Amino acid sequence: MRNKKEFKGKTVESAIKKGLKKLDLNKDEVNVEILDEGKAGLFGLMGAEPAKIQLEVKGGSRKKTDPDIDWKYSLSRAEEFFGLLIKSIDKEAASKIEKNESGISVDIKSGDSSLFIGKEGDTLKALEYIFNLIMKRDPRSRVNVELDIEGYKKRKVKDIIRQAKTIAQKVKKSGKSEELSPMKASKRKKIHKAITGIDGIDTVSVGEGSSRRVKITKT
Amino acid sequence: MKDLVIEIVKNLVDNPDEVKAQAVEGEQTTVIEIEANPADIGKIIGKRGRTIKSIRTIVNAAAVRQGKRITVDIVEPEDREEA
Repeated sequence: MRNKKEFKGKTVESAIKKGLKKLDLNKDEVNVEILDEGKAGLFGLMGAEPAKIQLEVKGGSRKKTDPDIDWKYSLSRAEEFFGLLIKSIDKEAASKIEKNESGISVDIKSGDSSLFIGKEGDTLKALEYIFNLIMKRDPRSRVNVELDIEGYKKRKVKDIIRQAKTIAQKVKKSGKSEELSPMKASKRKKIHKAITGIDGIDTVSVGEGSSRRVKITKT
Repeated sequence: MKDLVIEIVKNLVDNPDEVKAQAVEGEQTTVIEIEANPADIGKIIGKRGRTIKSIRTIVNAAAVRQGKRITVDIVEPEDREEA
């Protein structure tokens, strides 16, 4: 089975650790089955048998190590489809498509970037959504696609972090907790990271699903 | 614009050969009707309509330069025959 893999180690624990590292997954993303607990052997020398475990990747959580992904194919598919898509919005637009750590990044270049951004980033979001949907239909190109235009998203994130920092200072002064508006996990993570550095301030995520948001409190 | 819709939809469905689109031109608004295999309609609409909404957003972005509004609708093949 493609998403089941065996690993050996001195102990069950170390075998699991080794396996997770190799698959680049967290413990909650796999099911662990112990095949053999192993034996420490006499003085850890004689008759020692390694522990054997099997890790099964839980559905849908396959990550970077997905063996089906064909990067060359993914990139050419992205190039072909996306080239057509952006050209239909702006004939003179171009895109730079690159592989990054987690998938493919597309940077759009256009004389009129507002065409691609839309109202509050709606168009950019729609393009990204459709593009991801299409790429993920084929196992060979099941990669995450990130879209940006002239650093729009990066700028947006910077703005949010700046606002969060201002709020953090306010919380520090007043001692009263404040909640930010709901955000996706990736953005929340960036805020947590940016704010935990501030003395006397703590951040947690509260709420469920699409209303999950960052709460800034005084420690 | 019709071709853009067809291109996107074809890439989303299981039966791309059955995807057709027809554009009905009005003075300010163009209505693009997508026709596809009934089994694929759900894929075109997406969860909570997110896919069709995204298609509409993209198509309207593409239409800005032409100064037009575009409506994208999905019709099942039977509807077309009756009409």
